Amino acid sequence: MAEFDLTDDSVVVVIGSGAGGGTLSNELAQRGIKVVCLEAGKRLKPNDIVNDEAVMSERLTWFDRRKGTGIANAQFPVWTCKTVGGTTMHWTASCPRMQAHEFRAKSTYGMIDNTNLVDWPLEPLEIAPYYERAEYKMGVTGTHGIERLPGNNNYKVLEAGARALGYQQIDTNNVAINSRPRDGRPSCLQLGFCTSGCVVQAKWSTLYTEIRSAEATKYFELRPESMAVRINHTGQGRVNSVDYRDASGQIHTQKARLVCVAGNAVETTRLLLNSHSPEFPNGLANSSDQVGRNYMRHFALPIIGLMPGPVNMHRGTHQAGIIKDERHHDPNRGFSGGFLFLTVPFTPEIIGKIVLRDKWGDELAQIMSRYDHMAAMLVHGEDLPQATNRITLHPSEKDENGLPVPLIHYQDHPNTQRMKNYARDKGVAIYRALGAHQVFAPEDVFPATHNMGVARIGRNPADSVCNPWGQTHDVANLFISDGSLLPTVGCENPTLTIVALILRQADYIDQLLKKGVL
Amino acid sequence: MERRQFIVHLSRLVLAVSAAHWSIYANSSSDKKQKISSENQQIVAVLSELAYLLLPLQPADSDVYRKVAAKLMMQMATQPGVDHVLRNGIKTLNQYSGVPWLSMRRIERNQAVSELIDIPFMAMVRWTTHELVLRNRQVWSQLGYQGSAIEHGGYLERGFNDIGWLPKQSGVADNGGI
Repeated sequence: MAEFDLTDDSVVVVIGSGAGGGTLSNELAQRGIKVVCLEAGKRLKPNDIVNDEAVMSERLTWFDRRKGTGIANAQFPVWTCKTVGGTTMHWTASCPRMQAHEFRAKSTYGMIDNTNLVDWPLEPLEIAPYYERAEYKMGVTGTHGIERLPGNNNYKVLEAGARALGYQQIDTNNVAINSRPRDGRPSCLQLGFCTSGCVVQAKWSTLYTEIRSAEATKYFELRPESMAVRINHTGQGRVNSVDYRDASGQIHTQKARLVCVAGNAVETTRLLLNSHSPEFPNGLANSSDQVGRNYMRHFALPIIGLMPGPVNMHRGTHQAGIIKDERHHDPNRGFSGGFLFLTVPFTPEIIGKIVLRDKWGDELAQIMSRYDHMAAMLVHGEDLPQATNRITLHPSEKDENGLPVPLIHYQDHPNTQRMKNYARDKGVAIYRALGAHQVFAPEDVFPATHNMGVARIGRNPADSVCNPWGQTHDVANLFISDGSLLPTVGCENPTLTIVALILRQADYIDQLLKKGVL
Repeated sequence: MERRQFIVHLSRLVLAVSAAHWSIYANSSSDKKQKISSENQQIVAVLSELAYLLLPLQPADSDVYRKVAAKLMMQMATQPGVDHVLRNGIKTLNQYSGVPWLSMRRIERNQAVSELIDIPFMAMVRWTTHELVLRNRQVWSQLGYQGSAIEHGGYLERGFNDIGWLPKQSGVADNGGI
């Protein structure tokens, strides 16, 4: 791994090492562009990854203080990671592409009150080749001739119930998990601990893939436990350095030719807003007042069925099971956009503490005693951008690092509520069709894991933060490189789309640097 | 998802309020210490029984419920605000029907818990109960959760797809195909 001096102003500083930051770092380093990657979290060693969700939650989770209002959990509104690899350490590796109509949400859905709906500033055909590249890079099953994973018990229940209802678009999903050894990593052992980092590294995480590849070049330096706190500028509309806090609390300043922010929606917003100055009084790149607005998240509706026979849902890959029949747009269902059903297992602890948190005593004990008969899924659907769903900074409260506490405000749009109700009925029916004794489908029990939309791309600087490549309208050498870019989010897990956008962004940055424009 | 990760955080936050009485007790006279010791035994008894009623997966005298009480007692001593929440909660429980909660019949104890289930004290005890009971290996075995799989090579050769009771139907395949 290379080492660059703090005064080296020829480096690109990438903030964050997850799906966006890790991928961008590697793409630039492979092109011979010098990169310093600042990551707030620690770097886990292989032995730190274990098959224990409780232990791994302590090692992966971003615990610094945040506050939620609206229906966002007041104390823990979003769930993200603070570790090298970011949320790719915890993600389920589910990689469905967004559908063509979802890139044209405004044109497809029409005017919907109280939304900031837009069409993407790029055509689905423009992103298609980058989806191809992302899928190949990540080894997504069901693409490029890569065999899908076999179906586990939880999948078989989902599939059988879905077919009983007449659904047909059911398979073991496109997942960035090796079904055969690939890229120097082994194939999936059906361990059942995808969200605990994947001890065998069959799952694509930037810690095991992009970071490793970047470090094999002479052009990449990773600085873990380096929390970016402020981006500085020259006074002539260009950024020129990043202040970051190391593990001991000491502040350093890294000079930069270019800065790319990939901190996940909450931290990206906080960093931009916290970097205000007389020239940028509302925060960096925020002349539109759109930074932090249009915050979107997919609702995550868990459904658990107590089935007539054993399922042992904990055995196997988490989201290698999907039903796509409801993901299209059909206003006759009473809402715009669509949703997905995906398998997911829950541990006994998660069920007791979170999913069935309204139950206790003999009732809960009787349910828990049927754990081996449980099948479970997660349903998530398209969220619509609303200006009032917004991330801001607390005016006075500081967190553990002395930074303003992020405030996350979120309310369901009526469209979302109608979709949830419809989706819940369908999900419950899937398990009922197989004779489930009981089905549970509690609402809003999880913090948001897909956090998107707060620095969206667009052509008009008045209503978007970035141009179609993620370059901010206000500051030419400042890029946003994570899910904050998404102007609308479809119903699909966002990581594949983020990686595709970042591959496109890397090409663009490379071209601009070669032209000497940046 | 997710999911479990916010559990740990929530528990920390639930516990964050004020005061640490333990250091005061440490400087008390021996009579006072004895009184406190007896009082603490009462608290342990109430917390153990409450943990059992909240999640009766093991016999009432199981170690796992005593461990819940022990953990809460430790938190009383070390985390601001916990002492206040727990003592007030037990007081509320005892006041519910005018007699000590532990002296009531199980059905009456359950009734009291049911009436008070939404107070912060209950949230605190439930959280710790779920954490310790549902992380307990013996309980896992009882429920059929198998825990860490890596040392056994995962479930690829150990029943990840062994379901046998689903109705036969056309179109069901093990594999979604490419």
